[in-house]
Amino acid sequence: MKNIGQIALGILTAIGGFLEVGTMATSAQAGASFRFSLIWALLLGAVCLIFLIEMTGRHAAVSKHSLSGAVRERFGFPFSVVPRTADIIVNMLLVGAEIGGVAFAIKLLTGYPIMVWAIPAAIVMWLLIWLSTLNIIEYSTAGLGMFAIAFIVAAVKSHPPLHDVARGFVPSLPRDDAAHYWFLAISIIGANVSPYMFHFYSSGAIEEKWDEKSLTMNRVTSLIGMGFGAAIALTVIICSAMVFHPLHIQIDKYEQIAFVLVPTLGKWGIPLFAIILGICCLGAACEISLATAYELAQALGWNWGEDKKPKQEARFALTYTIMLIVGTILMLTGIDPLKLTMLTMALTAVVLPLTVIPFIVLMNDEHYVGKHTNGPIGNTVVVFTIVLTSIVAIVTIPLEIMGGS
Amino acid sequence: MAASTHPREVNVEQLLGRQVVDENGKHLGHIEEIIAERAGKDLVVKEFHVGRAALAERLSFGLLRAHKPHRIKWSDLDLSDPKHPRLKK
Amino acid sequence: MKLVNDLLDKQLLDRKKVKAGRVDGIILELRDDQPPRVAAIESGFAVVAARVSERWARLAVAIGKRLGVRKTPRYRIPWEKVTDVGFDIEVDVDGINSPLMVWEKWLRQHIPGK
Repeated sequence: MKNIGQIALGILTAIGGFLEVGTMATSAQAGASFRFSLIWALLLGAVCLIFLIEMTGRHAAVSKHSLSGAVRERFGFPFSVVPRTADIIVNMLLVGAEIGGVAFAIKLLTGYPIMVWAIPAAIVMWLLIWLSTLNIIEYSTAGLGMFAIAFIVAAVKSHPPLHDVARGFVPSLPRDDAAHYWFLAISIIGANVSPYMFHFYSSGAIEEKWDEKSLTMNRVTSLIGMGFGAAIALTVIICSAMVFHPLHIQIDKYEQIAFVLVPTLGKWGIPLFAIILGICCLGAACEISLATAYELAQALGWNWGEDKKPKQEARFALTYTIMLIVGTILMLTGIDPLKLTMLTMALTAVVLPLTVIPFIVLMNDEHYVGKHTNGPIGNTVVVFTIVLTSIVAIVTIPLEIMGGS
Repeated sequence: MAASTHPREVNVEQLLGRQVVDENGKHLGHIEEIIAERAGKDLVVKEFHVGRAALAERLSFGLLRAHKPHRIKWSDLDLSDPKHPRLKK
Repeated sequence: MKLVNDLLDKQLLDRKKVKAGRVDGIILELRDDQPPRVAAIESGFAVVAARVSERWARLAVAIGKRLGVRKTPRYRIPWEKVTDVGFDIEVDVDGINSPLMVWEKWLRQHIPGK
């Protein structure tokens, strides 16, 4: 049962991280604009994520300390206030985007506009978090997230040229529209390697009382969970490439993405897309709101835990409530959800180095991880990710200004 | 200086990162760690660690732990102006 | 013991082992011809804000006074009340009935539900 719970945590983290509005938007745009050429960015993000998620779980299982708490303890408050503040701001935008995703999914099924559904969607999310436990959220979202397998079916049925797909795994230079290409590459990495995923996974591991015996399952969970998410994201690129690219359609509205499953799945295409998007964005919004509450509570030393009653950790509960309120207000301003999503993915890429840099210290600190410190491969991946995310952080804003988005 | 309102008190977190100078004004490094030891029921300061090696030691970053930190005994540090700690003559 | 590594920013647990904030500050008592003594640990947003800047600390105090929940922006726990220094710092204080968790207590009294 504990193993199933671990894998469910991994899949939920993946659904919240991979299969949410950011991945849908960036993968769909990548496939439509550049066919299979940006698969390498997805692969790069996925590999980094699998390693970092495994480290996060290992750190939590051995030290019984959260990532956010450990960063404060090891680096001090003046350092930790920077990534925490950046995360809170970006997460607020992300929650807005996810609420927009759920509202858009319901709009597809009902025909009523997005703004009508923003508040009900947020209330459902809040009730889910307030009334249930982490296990219920994990199992329900992970279970329902299996609808995403429809993307795998659609990708196979579209008969993509496998040789071209394989070529996409190798980085290549764009033939034209370089700013847009690189901006999408960065956004894919930002969509897939999001700081909130580490905080959610770390906190979930502590709530589920992982210990050193959980380390093997942690590796399996990281691989299966994140691998599943990456596989679905890959199929979104493939489906989009097969449907939109031949028609030279540039994705700039969610309404366009909704047709991605229609050519292969017929009349079920749009309802299935709506269900997948709605479930995944619901899971993501809950995950991001909770992750922010975890982060803040752990950094400031508050009582925290999704498995506790809200009144026992009132400040924790207030934090995720505020996140959902702010996200809803963002959607009610009428901001275009796709534009908000793309902006947020880019901002995530900018703040990512602040989250990754502490790994090089924490994962080599025997005080926290005992004998389970990183080996040379783990440290190499961390250093590589720090360099990669730092470059990404530097070039994101100039690329956006150059018209990348 | 922050917060301690008592004239004979100083906040550790405000000392952290302060540059220590010697009697000639030469910079010795920033205060990165304060070592304390038990003396009966009390916990008293034994020494201050300054400089980059002290920072590496604090961050437990093995690669940089090769050098020992510069240690200053409590009795050698003048904290009458906590913003500008200096070696006593 | 290393005051920065082992004490500062560590999790505080009250006498019921409830999370009650963090060690935001440490007070040293300076004494003539004797080594400085750890007099107290401090917790509170004004303490931690002062580590970023004095302006933030003044803002934290002003907001606290305005909202009227917290009377003491900086809460001192005498060193004698520290019962254990390990991964977390245990103190002989009833957290929920002390200034450590005054916001938590206020919210519990004002939010509905279980």
